[in-house]
Amino acid sequence: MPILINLDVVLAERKMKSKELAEIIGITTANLSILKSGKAKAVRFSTLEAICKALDCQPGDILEFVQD
Amino acid sequence: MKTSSFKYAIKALQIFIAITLVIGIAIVVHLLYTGRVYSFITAPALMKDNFEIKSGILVLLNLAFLIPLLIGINSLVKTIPYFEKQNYFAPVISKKFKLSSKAFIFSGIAALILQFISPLIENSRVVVGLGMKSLLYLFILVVGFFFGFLAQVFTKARAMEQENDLTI
Repeated sequence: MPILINLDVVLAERKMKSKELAEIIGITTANLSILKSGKAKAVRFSTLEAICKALDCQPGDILEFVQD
Repeated sequence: MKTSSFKYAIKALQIFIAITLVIGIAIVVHLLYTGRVYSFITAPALMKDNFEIKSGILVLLNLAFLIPLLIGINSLVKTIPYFEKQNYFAPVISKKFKLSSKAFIFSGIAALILQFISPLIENSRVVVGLGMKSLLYLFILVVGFFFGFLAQVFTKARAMEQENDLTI
């Protein structure tokens, strides 16, 4: 998929673990793993908002468009 | 109707068709072998004075079309445990529905064709019209199309469910 998820990079920059983020935004670690691995088909605005709030970043920091 | 009673009803129908098939084939093979005619058999082909091979083949073909019907019902029975476990989007359900659909459609069309050609072969006459038997075969055909449609719906539903599961 041409949309990349840079959640790993942002988490590393914030020195935050996936488990912590999952707890803060209220999703399961399994779902966060699906999101990180790029297997997710869609992201809810509410989830994106929660991630951006928790990591203090912009949606563009997490999502990236790459030409195939 | 509860799923378990539905399951038993389908199982009973399946056993009934299987028994009819076995008894029917046994009788026709016996008739072909001995050439004797029994009065309790109501099939028109078997009521003749001289039981001919072509009539026997036609009756055997008629019975043979029960086999895809049995396969179709059997594949429907196999979907019941998934419905009982409320696992509606299992890929096997749409596969089994598709198989049932194909089996019912094949059985219906083949039986309808045979219904048309059997008087042609036996008595050299063309019969056009819808008798009770033809209506039954038409019903099987319609049921086949219905399960084909249902298979499509379940395939689409599964894709939607998957998309929903992968929406974070």
